[in-house]
Amino acid sequence: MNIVMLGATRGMGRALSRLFAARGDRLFLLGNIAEDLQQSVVDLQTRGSTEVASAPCDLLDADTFRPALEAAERALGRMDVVVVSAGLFAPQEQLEEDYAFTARMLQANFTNTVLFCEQARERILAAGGGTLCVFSSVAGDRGRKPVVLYGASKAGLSHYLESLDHRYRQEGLVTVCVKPGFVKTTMTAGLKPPPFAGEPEAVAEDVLRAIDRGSPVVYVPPVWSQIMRVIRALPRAVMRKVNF
Amino acid sequence: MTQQIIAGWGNYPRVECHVHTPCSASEVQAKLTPEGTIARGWGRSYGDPAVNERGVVLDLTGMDRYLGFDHDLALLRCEAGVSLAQIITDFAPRGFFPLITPGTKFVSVGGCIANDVHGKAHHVDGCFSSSVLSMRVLLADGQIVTASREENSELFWACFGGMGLLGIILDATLRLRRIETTYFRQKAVVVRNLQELLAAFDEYDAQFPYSVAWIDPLARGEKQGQGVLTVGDHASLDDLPRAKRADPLGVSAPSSLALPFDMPNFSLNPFTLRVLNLVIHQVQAHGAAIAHYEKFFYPLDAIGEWNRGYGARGFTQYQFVVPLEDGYRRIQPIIQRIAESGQLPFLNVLKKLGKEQGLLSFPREGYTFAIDFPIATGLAELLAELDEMVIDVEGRVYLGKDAYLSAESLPRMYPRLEEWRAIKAKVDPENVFTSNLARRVGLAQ
Ligand SMILES: Cc1cc2nc3c(=O)[nH]c(=O)nc-3n(C[C@H](O)[C@H](O)[C@H](O)COP(=O)(O)OP(=O)(O)OC[C@H]3O[C@@H](n4cnc5c(N)ncnc54)[C@H](O)[C@@H]3O)c2cc1C
Ligand SMILES: NC(=O)c1ccc[n+]([C@@H]2O[C@H](COP(=O)([O-])OP(=O)(O)OC[C@H]3O[C@@H](n4cnc5c(N)ncnc54)[C@H](OP(=O)(O)O)[C@@H]3O)[C@@H](O)[C@H]2O)c1
Repeated sequence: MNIVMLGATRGMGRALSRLFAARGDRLFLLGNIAEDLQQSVVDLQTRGSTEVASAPCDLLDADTFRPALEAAERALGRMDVVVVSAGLFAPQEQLEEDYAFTARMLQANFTNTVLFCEQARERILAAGGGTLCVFSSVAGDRGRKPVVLYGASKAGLSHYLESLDHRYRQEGLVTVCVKPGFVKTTMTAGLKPPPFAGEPEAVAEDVLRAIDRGSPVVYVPPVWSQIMRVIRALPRAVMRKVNF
Repeated sequence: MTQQIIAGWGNYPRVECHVHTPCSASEVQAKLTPEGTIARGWGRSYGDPAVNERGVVLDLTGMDRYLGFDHDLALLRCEAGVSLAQIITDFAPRGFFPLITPGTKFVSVGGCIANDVHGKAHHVDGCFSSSVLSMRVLLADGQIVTASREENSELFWACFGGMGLLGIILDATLRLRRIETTYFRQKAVVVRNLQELLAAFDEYDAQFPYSVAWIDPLARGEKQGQGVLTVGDHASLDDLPRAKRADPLGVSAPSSLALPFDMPNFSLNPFTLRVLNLVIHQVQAHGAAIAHYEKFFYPLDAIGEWNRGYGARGFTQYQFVVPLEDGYRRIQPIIQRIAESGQLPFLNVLKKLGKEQGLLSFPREGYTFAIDFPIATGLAELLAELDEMVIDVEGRVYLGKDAYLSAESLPRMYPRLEEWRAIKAKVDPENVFTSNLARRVGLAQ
């Protein structure tokens, strides 16, 4: 299969790219730090993927999306799967103090991710179908105290992805919305891991399965599906009292 | 960044540090602070070289990318957090193995350089440095330099055994070993005492590159030093029994060869110790003639987090080396002192080491002996006494295992220390790189 990934240099994206490489998929990586991107390309080539190439793409600069996707399509011929695992995060307290970063986070996680997906959608549909796999978050499932701003960006994204799936699945565009709970990556490095914290390698296995099956939503680690079912069911009065 | 209490493999000392987990060279560069930083790999050093009280620790296990592989030259370039376990998983099936490996595979390339680790064939293969062609090091001033035998060679050599105190090793180019199989021909020799053991080492040296002995730490008198010497060599395809030839480069140990005993949360007392030593003796002495590398190199890895068995107080390993010549005379009193100490010595391993390399690398030609001790009252005093005994016979202690050595003792064990210090003063005059170990033994402020 031909895979395009935005956000494969670190975290869950890095782990997922290795699973694709290990089974011989052709990969095209998009990212914003040239040296880092090149190191990931070589890493995947060394691990045995048949073909890996890359092009620059900055999630914070929507003008880079078109040339990036064009380059990917040119290199691969067709794109079977497009994965977006790039995203920004900071704890609520930090976001409240840093207006500029909050603006970038909202821009990256919602507006620009949606714009990127729109361009990917057009290309995938024009080529006769494929899969769009995007990392949202459990933080988008329910308004909660610790993730007011980040959660809002992901809620918007989850909503978009769900609608996209309803609207285009019949035409051949399968949308997979990944909802990670807490996963130990650089993104969460400053935080104390909760009891069900996941490892990126294990999470990547679950995501790969979801992509292969075309599951519209996948919670990772899977236990978060139950946790969120409970949290979504809690009355507002309770949510106002608790701190999670 | 998180404030975390971390420790080495021995769970002693436990120290509060600010831990960062960078995943790339650019992130490491961004995280470098003048306030005192130390790199950390997989935390398999026993004591305190990879902890830094109230300072910064850079956990580099996320730097796990390969940066190139040359099949014809068997050269692998990789980031410093890559573990030998990962290299084996990815390259053994293609016929390559790390050239040098310590007794656990859960160690990083950076950690192997910083401790210049040795394996069971040191007298033939040398230290880890033998397998390193070059590395890129992030220095205190933020510069990234390449160091090899030709370029910045002073820095290159000082990094081996340099305990992470000269800079952060970002990546390295390693020469791998070509293998036909992932199996070993091995032979176990039961010896009745120390003299027989040393003689057996000499006898089998010429025939087998790998050798390691386990001895019963509680045996006294005539039986002192009784144990089992295991020797071995890489098995060729022809050496394998027919059944194993179908998958000669298998990476996960077939279950029939898995360790036939396990250690649940045992409590250590002289009785369990005796039983355990007996079991290990049995297992070692009756090992199969063909052993998978998992069993041959890494018997302890099969037990997972066995270090927790020592309980909350943790443990330390005392590993020292004494010169070959007149080895019995040098080593016997030390073993005797340990047996009589009333402490609980556990897992005693004896190896032969070859020629010295580098400035602060532990190995020198001689016999090396490693003993685990649970942390207990009186242990510090015993180890200080042993340090003096080791110094008296021109030996030295391995910093990669140590948690107790003093700043006064270090120079008496490492004659090239001043040369190393001069390099440290040149590349890191402000002690940007420091650790608990560095401050304790006087390698940095
Ligand atoms: C069961 C077991 C068996 C062992 N057997 C042997 C053996 O046979 N022979 C032997 O020699 N050792 C042996 N060891 C010790 C072990 O091999 C060394 O301590 C090794 O250095 C651990 O690697 P690590 O990645 O865990 O490093 P850590 O313990 O995390 O760090 C060790 C040192 O390396 C430095 N360091 C780590 N990464 C970098 C980097 N990127 N740049 C600069 N400095 C860095 C740290 O600052 C620290 O000083 C054994 C340990 C165990 C637990
Ligand atoms: N970790 C969790 O617990 C968790 C929980 C819920 C949701 N998520 C979501 O899951 C996704 C992946 O998270 P992760 O933990 O794997 O994150 P991560 O380790 O921080 O990795 C993020 C990836 O995004 C890339 N990226 C960041 N900014 C970019 C930009 N401007 N342009 C291009 N690429 C950029 C990064 O590359 P460079 O830095 O090299 O540019 C990196 O490859 C994110 O969307 C995150 O919000 C994570």
